[in-house]
Amino acid sequence: MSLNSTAAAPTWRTPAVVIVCGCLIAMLAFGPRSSMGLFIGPLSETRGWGRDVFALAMAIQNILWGAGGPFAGALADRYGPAPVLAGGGVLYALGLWLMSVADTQLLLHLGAGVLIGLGLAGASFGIVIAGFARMVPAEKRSWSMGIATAAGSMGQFLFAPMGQAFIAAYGWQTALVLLSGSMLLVPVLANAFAGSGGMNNSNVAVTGANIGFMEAIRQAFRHRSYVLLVAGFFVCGFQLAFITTHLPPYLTAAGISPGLAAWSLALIGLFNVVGSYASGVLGGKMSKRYLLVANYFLRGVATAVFILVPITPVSVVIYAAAMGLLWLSTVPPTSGLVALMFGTRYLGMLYGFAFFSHQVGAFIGVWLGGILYERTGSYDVVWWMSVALAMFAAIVHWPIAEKPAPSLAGAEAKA
Amino acid sequence: MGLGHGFALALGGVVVAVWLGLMGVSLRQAALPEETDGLVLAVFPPGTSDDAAFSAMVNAGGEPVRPTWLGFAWVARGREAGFVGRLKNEGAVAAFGELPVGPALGGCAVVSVDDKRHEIYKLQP
Repeated sequence: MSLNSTAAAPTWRTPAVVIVCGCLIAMLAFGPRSSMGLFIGPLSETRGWGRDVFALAMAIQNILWGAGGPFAGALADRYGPAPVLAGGGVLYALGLWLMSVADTQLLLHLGAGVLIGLGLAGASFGIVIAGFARMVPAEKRSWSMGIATAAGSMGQFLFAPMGQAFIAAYGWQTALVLLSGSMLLVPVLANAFAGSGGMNNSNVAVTGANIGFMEAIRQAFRHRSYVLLVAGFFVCGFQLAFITTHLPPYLTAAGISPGLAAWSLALIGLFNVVGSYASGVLGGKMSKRYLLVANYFLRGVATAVFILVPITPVSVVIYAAAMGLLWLSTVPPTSGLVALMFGTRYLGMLYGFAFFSHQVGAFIGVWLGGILYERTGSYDVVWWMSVALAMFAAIVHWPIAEKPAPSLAGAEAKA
Repeated sequence: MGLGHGFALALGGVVVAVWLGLMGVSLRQAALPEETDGLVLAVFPPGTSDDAAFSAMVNAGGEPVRPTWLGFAWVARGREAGFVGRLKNEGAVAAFGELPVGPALGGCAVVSVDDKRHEIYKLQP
């Protein structure tokens, strides 16, 4: 695999500085988003809107985040992560500000839906990871992907109570303005990535053949291992979204207190920090493919055991901790495999496609959970579907070839 | 410092310290004035026993409504003005009109649209 250059970036942009700034960006991008649900009550109360108005804004946000991922990734691959992260941060900040003043449904959908969705596509950990892959030494790459994912998880965990405290202290509109202000730190922090810009920049370690975006997409989707990886990531999205949305009502219907049902999600968030980091560390020491096989297999086993045993506070806590450890720990090995197959040159875009598959799975997980609950009166079918999909994902990851794609090797040989 | 577990721990520690500072400022702003009455969240020093908290709320002219998961924070009701001030005189650290800390998880794709949650946290009218 070719390495254009490993020449040093400007002095202060050391790997440590880049990682600190990238982690803070990942944290900031995921943070306000986890507080969104806190605003639905006061916002709907003030404007007199039903929950459907907010729900549509969130749906727009999610679909644009997923669909915008490959485009934001391609822009980051072309011009470097810095301008994409900075632009994403500004759009995110504008979206949060617009939410605070939106007095029509259209403005809410534009702010909370379109602007924040596009902001997330540009400023979330997918772009941070693509930047790390270019600027962090190869032996620390998996670790850096783990710490970026863990930082995003920690942002979720820390921002939710902070959003609530902001609302209690200053009111919901000022709270949104404060969160918007915090997002303006992203362009400042993104400056640390400024030395990694552009696929023709000679100051960074860009690997992989320079074959053009369309050819890269064509080769990626012709490569069986990439297709299997993308298919497996769909399952990750399905399970996460289904659990986040439907676990609390499932638990309360089973007699668990609403408090513990809500805290089970917080427990998932806390263990997710540990799991994401550990996944990054392990990904640098062992096969990423086996790590993903184990992850999905354990998800399936944990879920099967959880729905087969009587639901008690103890079983809820154990399941939440187990799923937390396995939650976003798919991200470091998945992004690491994309980098291994195709190099870092198109990592932003190709990981963006994988993430889009994740978001489609998430949409189906939420939607199917609701539909099948209404039709059957229980979540049993979707729980078992989740178990089956976990086993499917474990199986499809098994034959993934953990090496550079042959087409890439051929292209590099010609270059 | 090299890139490794120590670096990750130090970064996490600094982030948590900054977060605690911001939370402290926000919670100070969110505290109710001393003349407030009605339903409040009374926060006592960590480690305060249930008996001590119970006595403090009664001595302040109020009634305990329910404990919270924190143990040292209680939902209490005072029917006369100045309830919060009296609670502080009895040893409470602060009182809030909403439960200012609670769990939430966004996930990669999902934000809860539970519009009842705010009502659960809201104590003051």
